[in-house]
Amino acid sequence: MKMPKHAGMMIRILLFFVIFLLLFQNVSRVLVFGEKGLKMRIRGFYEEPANSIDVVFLGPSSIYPYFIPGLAYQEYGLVSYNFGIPAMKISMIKYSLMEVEKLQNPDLFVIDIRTAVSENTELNEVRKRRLIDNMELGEAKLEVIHDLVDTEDRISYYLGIIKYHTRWKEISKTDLQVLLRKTDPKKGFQARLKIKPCEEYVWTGTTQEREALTEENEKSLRELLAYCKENNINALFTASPWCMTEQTVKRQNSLKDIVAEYGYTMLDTNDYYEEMDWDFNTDMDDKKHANVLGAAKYTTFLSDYLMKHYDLEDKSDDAKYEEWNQAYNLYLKNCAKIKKKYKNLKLE
Amino acid sequence: MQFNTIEFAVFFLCVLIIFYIMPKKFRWIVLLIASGIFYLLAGINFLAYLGITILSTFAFGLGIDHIHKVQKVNLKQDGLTRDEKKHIKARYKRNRQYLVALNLLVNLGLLFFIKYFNFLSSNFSRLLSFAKVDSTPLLLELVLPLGISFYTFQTIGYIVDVYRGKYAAERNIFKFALFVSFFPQIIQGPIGRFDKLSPQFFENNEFDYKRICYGLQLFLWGLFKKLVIADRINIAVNQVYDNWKTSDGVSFIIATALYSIQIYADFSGCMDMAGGVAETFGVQLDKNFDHPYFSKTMPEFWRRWHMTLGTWFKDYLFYPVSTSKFSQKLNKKSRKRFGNNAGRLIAGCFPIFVVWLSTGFWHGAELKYIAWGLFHGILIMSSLIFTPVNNAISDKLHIPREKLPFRMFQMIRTFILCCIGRVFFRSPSVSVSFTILKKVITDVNFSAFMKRLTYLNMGLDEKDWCVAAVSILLLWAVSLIQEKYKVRDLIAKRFIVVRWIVFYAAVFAVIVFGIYGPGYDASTFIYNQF
Repeated sequence: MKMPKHAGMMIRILLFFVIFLLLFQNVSRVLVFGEKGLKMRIRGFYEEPANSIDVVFLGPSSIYPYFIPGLAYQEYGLVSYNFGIPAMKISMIKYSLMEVEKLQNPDLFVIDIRTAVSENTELNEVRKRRLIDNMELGEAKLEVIHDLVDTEDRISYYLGIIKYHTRWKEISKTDLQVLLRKTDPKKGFQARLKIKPCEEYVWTGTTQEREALTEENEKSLRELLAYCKENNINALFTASPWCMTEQTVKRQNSLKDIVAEYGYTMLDTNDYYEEMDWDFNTDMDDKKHANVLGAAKYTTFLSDYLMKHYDLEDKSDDAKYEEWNQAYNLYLKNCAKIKKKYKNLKLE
Repeated sequence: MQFNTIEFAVFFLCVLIIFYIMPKKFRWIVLLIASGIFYLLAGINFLAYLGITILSTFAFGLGIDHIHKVQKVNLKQDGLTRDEKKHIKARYKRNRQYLVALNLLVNLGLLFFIKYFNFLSSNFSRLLSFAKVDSTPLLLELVLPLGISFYTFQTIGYIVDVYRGKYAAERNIFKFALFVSFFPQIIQGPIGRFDKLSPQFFENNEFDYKRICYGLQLFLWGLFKKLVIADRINIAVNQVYDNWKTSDGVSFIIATALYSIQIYADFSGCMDMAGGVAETFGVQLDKNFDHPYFSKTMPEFWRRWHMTLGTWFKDYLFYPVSTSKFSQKLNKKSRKRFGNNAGRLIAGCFPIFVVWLSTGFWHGAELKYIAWGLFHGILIMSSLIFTPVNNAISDKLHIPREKLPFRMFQMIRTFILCCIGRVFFRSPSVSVSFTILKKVITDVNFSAFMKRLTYLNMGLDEKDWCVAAVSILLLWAVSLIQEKYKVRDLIAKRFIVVRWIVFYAAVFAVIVFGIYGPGYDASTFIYNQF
């Protein structure tokens, strides 16, 4: 069969651009900035086989130093992943959820919305970029850029390399690891290995009073809930343990009301310190984050809750999830490290 | 919209696709519309200035052409005596001159008004203050339209050529508008000639894969020069020149040499981008640079640097001034007074002086540009005077002028002279230029400089200096190869894998090592301001 006149040329052009795009994508991935495990956590998520994860945890640092997917798998056969972004504001969670939906079809989303009680609603460039720069170009990325970024700044969000190309001077081994297209061995967990006694900072009173969230946070929260409802998303909203003040307790009470308005459940784990055996003197890394010891307590409690309240499969015998066993081993190593570091505390 | 922006890349790609989708006979219309949009994006007011220049030049061109024809008809009449013919020619020549003068009045009037009004007004006021007359200069808020110096000169070239009968005037205003406004060249030139440029819009526009690839390669090379070399060096140069009060002589020596490389990479890079874009549409723009830093003398340098401006001044200023009645009188008088050789030299210096004063003035409404122009004028005049003397000395000393060491010496000498001129060009004012030149002579301490490792304080870190050094070496190596071969032909002969590796390396060198992104001002082509 005779080839059309320009077929050879067209194939060459096409091939040239395909190779160029592949190279461009990889160079961009290497150069895009991602702090302390973030790059691995997010890029690793893209490398997980499609529709293989049953529970995806979404939220800021109130989620990924708290929940240990390796431990949850070991104890309950729960296949989970923390898709967490540092300091992610409530207004951005919707887009991370959209992005996850593109890749996975989880039975349940666990969304930590503790951040909604915060006074600080500033959505600065760093906060936006942590999510957007690590997302792949697609509907969710285009939508988040359109909704949250000023027109004149958008181009460098669509093409992160415009912003980050100067990072060639500081490329590290971690940056290059994304080229290997590896999954995250910790499945999104970030182990914190410091013990900061926080008992004195915790408000010990109880109140059923409500205090309004900031207007912006309430609006964003309602948008998130409306999106979940409209799209029939099975979600559990949570608030992980932290040093609450009287004001944050009142605001967290309001949170529960708003979530309930949309027919969803809000599990405030701050109401279950006893059940979790939570100890603010040993389980916190700082006033707002758990260390690995606290994370283990939180994981056990939450996994148990999830297995009891949701129809989730125990996949502990499934060989496909061997990586979650490795994640558990990594968790054990971290446990050993913190116990060694604080051996004078005689931790169990 | 600058060549080094994503907006331009998208615009260019769209125009290229539409251009080749359209039937051949309509392709020039695509270029015209694209040029209109390109210029419109710079500002609607600017389009009005451009429109006036196009309309007036087109109309006067037709008028001059008409007079040519009427003259021809009248000269064909039977029975005309030689004197009558001479009289007819003189009459019509005068009429054509009036039209040229009127056109110059419009085009140069616009250029002068926008570019030089404030300069003249403030200097006039300063003059009055010397005469102890109190006056506040009238300063207007005028924004210089994009490429006005370039397209004004291009239209002047056209009208003078039509006047000289070099070619007939264009009869289609849209085709003429395309000649003036062709988007790859309107911002910074090259200053095109109608007879060479215009036919290309209509003749050579069939799809040619190789030509498009060549065009894109040239564009990429220009982008490399601009983003990787010029804009990187710019940081160091600015650091020194912006802090001229505290910078020392050694810093100025380094910064000025770097600035010479920067301005070359910047301007020739822009020309490569313009040439590359034009080539994809089948248009070959005039060469504007021919490795000027390989020049052995200043006159040679100016034949290799901004060549279209040089030839423009030669054709439309130098020759008319040289052959003017005033020059002839001057020639006669000076030969009478100083003898044949010296007299001819003195008379020959006059047009050079006019050309270089104008060149300086063309670059900007500032005394520093005039000083820079005059400096080069003096160098060219000195060259006229001293070249025979130098040759005689080297002959006597048996120095082989064609051997590499001597040629190297000449190149370095030319580069140094050029750098001295750059001090005027880059400094904020003439007085600062002299302060800097004084520092270069009196405040030079290399060992102290090395001890302080001042280069680290020139705004670039070690890695940036490495990239700059490697890129400059590459530029130098490519220039050397270009003296004998066409680099694009050499690459084209290679196996496809090698070729593609070269292209990918070039593309990613620009993407990764280029200076651009948030905080970077893309409108920083040095010659944009002229």
